[in-house]
Amino acid sequence: MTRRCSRRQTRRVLGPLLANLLLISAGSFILLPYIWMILTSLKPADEIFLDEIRLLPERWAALENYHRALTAVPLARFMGNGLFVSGAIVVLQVLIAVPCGYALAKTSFRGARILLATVLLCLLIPKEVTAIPLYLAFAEIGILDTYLVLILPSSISVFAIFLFSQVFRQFPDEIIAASRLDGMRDYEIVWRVIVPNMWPAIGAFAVLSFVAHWNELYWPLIAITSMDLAPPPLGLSFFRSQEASSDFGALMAAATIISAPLVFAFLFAQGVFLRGFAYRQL
Amino acid sequence: MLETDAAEMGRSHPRRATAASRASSTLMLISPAILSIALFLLLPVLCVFLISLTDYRLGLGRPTFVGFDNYVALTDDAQFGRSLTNTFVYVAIVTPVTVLLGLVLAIAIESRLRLRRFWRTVFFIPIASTLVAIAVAWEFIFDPSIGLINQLLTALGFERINFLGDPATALFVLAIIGIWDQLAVNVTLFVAGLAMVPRDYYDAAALDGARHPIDRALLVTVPMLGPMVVFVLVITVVRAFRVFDLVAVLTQGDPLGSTDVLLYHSFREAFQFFNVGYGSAIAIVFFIIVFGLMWLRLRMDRHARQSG
Repeated sequence: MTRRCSRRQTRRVLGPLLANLLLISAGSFILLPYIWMILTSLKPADEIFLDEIRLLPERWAALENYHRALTAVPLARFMGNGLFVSGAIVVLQVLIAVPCGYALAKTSFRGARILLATVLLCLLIPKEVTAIPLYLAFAEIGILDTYLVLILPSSISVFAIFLFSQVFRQFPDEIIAASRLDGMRDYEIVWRVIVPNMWPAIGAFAVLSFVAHWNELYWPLIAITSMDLAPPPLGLSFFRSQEASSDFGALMAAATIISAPLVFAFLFAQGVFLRGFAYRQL
Repeated sequence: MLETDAAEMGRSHPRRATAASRASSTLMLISPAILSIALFLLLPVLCVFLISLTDYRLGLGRPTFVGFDNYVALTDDAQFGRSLTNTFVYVAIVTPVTVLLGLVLAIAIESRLRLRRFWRTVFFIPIASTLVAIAVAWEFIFDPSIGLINQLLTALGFERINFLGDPATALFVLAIIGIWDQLAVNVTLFVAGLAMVPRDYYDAAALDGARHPIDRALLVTVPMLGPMVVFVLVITVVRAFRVFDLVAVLTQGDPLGSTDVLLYHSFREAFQFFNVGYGSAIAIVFFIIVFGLMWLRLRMDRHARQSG
């Protein structure tokens, strides 16, 4: 009896201890690259190349490193490219997917089942597979190495169509019927009735899609050769291959600058991110 | 009369008289989507298959049809074989670690009431990060001379290891970074899954004598998460199969092809050596593997929804 009791007590202490230990070590593993990246971006070169582990710099070199990161390559330009390209992609995806999602959710038309089946089938196509023919086609038209080529292939998101067709089903039919009685046409109903009311779902999708395209490397690496048009990941990989052996301080500063906007956005709008992420499971 | 009309239309059974105008209105809604699906998804997939049946080389005149020659050549290509093996090794390391650890960590997070929000945030941050940037940070941590890990090793009296420069270790380093990336995804998915387990079940388990949160987790959570685990497993395998960024930025398949993976091999053949036909054949192999896995996921999903 007493033995059982004490065993339960050890478990009561040991369980949380183990859980905490696990969380702290896994959490450190997750945070390690950020911490080391930021610390290095504050150090002057001679301290980076020192043969001992030192956490904080003796001489702070943050300003120099960040200044070099911003001037050695057009880092601000990369971020601007990312903002423009990802923004344009998200706008196009929403413009194309919302009406289609509405049609699938709220109207019946011939071929609706085939369309939905096609959408589901297309969900299984990894984007990378389409790269070679798209590259050849864009080369033929002569528009490689432009913003347009970065944006166009991503203008369609079958995931968005599927998501919206599921979410819009919950929208009350009565309101749609009333809007029709008021003489509204389908596209007016979509943009003036559905979109304002379904904003949480659309916003969550937009946030997630923006992040995905901001972070994309595969297609930009294929389609873009001018540094001026590079989105952040491609720009950083240019920088890395230029500066790899020498300037770690500036390289880490550049990596910090590129990671910062999305991480901060996440910390401020965690709810939207998490909701968008939950939709991924549909 | 008016009301029944409205209800009719609301349920969107168009009346005969307006059928034509309704059809054109629907067409307006769906045609942009249909057009871009055809142009940017279906047509390219068909084309990549057709190109894989030719000897197309960029800048070398007209391609000729060679049937399945490219696929036959794949079976003879040691480099392709190695990229396939490397991809499988990478998947085989990343998948079990991130699924198991992800589940355990999610249970640990959810059983801590006080710091739950904090830990959730920590494990979500990588999802909002640019993998290429963090990969560069990891590369510096694994640097042969001034990296943190080698500094620790020498401080403890061990030999330095050229982690990314040694064929024996390079793929494992990429897998560690891959684990870092995927662990965040899986913890977040499992945390979301745990949040969906009804509270009542925990209360019932507590009444049955499962006092401690961890006991309750074992009793209630693990069985309920069965389908969730399978789902996360498939997602993890698919994402690991698509490994590209890490290789493209950190190793370019080196040293000695030890980090060459399927997608990178296809990329290099098509866009660096301009063997477009051959690169397409590799892309098709990649497609078949990923398509099969995703198909499995879709089937399971539907099954789960029907039974749940």
